[in-house]
Amino acid sequence: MANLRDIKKRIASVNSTKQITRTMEMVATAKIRRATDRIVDAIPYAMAILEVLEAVAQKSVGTDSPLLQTHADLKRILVIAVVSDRGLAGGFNANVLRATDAFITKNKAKGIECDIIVCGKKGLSYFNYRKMPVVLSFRDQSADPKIAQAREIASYIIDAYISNKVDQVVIFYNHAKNVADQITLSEQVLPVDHYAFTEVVADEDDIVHLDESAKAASAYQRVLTEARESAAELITTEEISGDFDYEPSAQTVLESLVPSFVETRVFHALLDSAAGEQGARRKAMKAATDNANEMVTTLTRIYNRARQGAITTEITEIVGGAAALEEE
Amino acid sequence: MARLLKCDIVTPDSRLFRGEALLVSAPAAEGDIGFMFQCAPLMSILRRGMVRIKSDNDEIHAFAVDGGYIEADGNKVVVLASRAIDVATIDETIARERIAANEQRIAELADDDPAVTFARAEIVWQKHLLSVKT
Repeated sequence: MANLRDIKKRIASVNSTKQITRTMEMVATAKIRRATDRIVDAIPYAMAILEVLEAVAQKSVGTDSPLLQTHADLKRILVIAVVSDRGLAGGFNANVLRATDAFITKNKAKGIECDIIVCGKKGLSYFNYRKMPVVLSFRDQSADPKIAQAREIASYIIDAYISNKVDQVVIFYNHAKNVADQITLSEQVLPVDHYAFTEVVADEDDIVHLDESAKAASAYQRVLTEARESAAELITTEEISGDFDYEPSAQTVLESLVPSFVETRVFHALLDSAAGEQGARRKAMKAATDNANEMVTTLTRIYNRARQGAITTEITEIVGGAAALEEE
Repeated sequence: MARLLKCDIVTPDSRLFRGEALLVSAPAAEGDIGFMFQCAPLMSILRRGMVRIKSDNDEIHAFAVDGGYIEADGNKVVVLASRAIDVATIDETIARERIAANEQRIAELADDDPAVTFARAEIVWQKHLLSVKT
């Protein structure tokens, strides 16, 4: 039977771990709120830019914007992996990194080289350890992504694409579906698909629809849905007539919009991932806290049994001793 | 009463303004343009400059913008600024500090470092803020 003092020590240690995980859970919960607010703040711009793009695209102006052209030869792909700076978030980082790694391995087998842009320390150490080519990396920004970071990534990938250094750009990130669940997504950023404009809008609709059907009206989903609706209400009160005058010309407007669209897309992936990170951490820490609680219960039971056993032994000894004395 | 335009100013990370306006003036690609209710639909690239919103009671609300787009259709105006700030909230000391910090950064970096472009853009933007403040 285990020593009473040892069990007591273990209970104390599990309890102190529990305190840490519970605090981390609460911190993550508070941060989810902030991360969600940031997404909500960014929605009006994204919706507006999509609407403008759609309106211009409807005009079907002839454009030779290099960002819309697919490269005939697919020789080199630029992969953007968005993960976090910190661990203790369950499978959050591993899912994206594994998906990215699998994607790269698959393409290597086909003879396509891959370069990597990585956001988040966890990703950097993963790829550096495997000696995979990281061309651009960001650290200490995963919890609070700034538009400047998205701009830097966008300008790098646009330059690389235009100068034919890469033939495709794909981004891997965690989409925060709701507070608890994250989905690992991969999206093609470049070349920008002409039809992708409307597809993205359709995606947004899907998400709203999903929220409704799930009826899981958590604060997170409600806020997001409301923001989308209010943005949509402002921008699509009437069908865009398509009779806009363009200054300087429709083509120039479209060509200057495309880079902004790329930038917005990257920024959204970063924000989405930041919200997902907190969600994943909260979930992981909640599981850890629950496990710790269970462990304390089990250990306490063992402790009590051991104590009981010790008392019983003692009594038996005393009774035995007394009986022996009486006999004398 | 004159009819009003709905007006929104949005930047990639926030919505800066939402309200009604009698007149909105903005630095469009080929010269400053004013928008009023039932103006012709227009979509334009914005230059760096000022967006001014005149409300029903003749108050003028000014925003410094660092380029972007504007979309107007007679009923509403949406300003998509890549960066914007309410002129009233510009802090000259902070702007000067940023200019100094970025100039130092450029001096430290190699000329072909991509960060130099961003630092230069930041200096231009902060100088713009100083110029509209004074």
